[in-house]
Amino acid sequence: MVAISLANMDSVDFMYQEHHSWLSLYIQRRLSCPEVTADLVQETYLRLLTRGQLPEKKDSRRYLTHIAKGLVIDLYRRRNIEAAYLELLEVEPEKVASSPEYQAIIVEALVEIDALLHRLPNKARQALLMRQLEYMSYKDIAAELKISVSSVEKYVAKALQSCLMVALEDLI
Amino acid sequence: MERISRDAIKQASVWMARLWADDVTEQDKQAFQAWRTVNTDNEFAWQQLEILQQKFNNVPDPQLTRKVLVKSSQTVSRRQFLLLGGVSIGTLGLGLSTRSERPNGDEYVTVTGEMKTLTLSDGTILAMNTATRVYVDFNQYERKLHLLEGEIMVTSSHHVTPFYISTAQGMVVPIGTRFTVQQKTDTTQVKVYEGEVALYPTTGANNKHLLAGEQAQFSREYIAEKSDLQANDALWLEQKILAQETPLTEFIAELARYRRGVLNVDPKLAHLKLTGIFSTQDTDKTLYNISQVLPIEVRYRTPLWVSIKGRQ
Repeated sequence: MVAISLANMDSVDFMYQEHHSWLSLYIQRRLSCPEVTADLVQETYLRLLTRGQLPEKKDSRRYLTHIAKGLVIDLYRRRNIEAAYLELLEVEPEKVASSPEYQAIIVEALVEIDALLHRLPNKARQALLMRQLEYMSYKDIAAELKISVSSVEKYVAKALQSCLMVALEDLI
Repeated sequence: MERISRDAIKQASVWMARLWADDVTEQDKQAFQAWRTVNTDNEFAWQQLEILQQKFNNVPDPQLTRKVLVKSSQTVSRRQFLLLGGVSIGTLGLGLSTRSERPNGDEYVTVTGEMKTLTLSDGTILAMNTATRVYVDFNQYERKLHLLEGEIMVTSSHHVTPFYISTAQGMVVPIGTRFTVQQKTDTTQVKVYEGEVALYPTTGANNKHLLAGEQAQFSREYIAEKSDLQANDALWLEQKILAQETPLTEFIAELARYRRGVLNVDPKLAHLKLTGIFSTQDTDKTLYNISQVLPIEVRYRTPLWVSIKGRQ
């Protein structure tokens, strides 16, 4: 890996030229939507720039694929969340947010939290969300999930550990 | 790059779950304090866990968030979703191309340690400090800057079109002026060097005006008391930082903005104070210089993981 700086912007440029077309195809095959494809290709390079590290030339393809794959999965996850949010709004119309901007902010926050949680088994996920978002006591969580109080503590610990692993992915 | 210990992460999580328990005891708390201070790995893992808390604390509607997140994990599997493809996208107008984290306009980015200056189409000069992301969205009716991360200095030109800067906490409106705006973790900090600036927190009822030589921070709800500026210009423009009887811990936090990786300082060193002007261009050299004037030791576990301790 080489740090990206103004000095090697040429290499980034070159990498873009060289890999742009197959990367588009790679993403396109997984999305079947040309507009979103173009967005994701841009986003892939943007991630590369914000990570600030340029892979060795021989690793470029693998590295770009890795980023792109993550973005495609993120997109599906986001759609999943939007769908769940919409369904909930239908059931609870009083929750309908005042503006599309506010809805977008909510979905964004949901996506961010969801990214931390996606590896968790259901009970651990629920226990953490109850404690973390609604400050429920372990006793109340235990009652709602029909498990023991000591299991709640174990699930919460496990969930925190998993979230932190995801958050620190780059450092572990 | 050295790895962060998985054990420390696991133990930190177990501790946090214990401290949240209904039956947490005084002994638990003391044992936790002992665990936390026994080594830097533990302390680091704990700090990261606290940063994680902020993400959860910042969600707009906690109850709704929980419902949606539980539901979304139970509804359709990934595989089913791949088959459904594109059904829901666009229904809310929330497709990828209109995501809220990407505001309108052109994006400008600086990486950690980089600084650059741009002249915008209306003549406004925009200087970007380290690790900054800003969107410039100008049209015939208004001129908007969205600051997503980092710090900018704006020297605004005289113009009839309304001009403002938005951050996660609210809006900053200049009245013909030169000032900086920094997006911090939970607040926005504004320093005014010339002219006058108005601050509008998103949900706050009050706004406040800052005059040249004044600074203030605000959250989404409140504006903190304003105070006087220490310097008569933003030193980061010259890739320098100023310390005036600044606690070492505070100084290092500032220096860390200009450096990739982890820069830890032992909280016990908070009593040490520093005065002077230091370079942000070569942070290794700056760390070395400080170690010559203060009784500290700079330890490089790796170039990306540096700890500062008291000298033994």
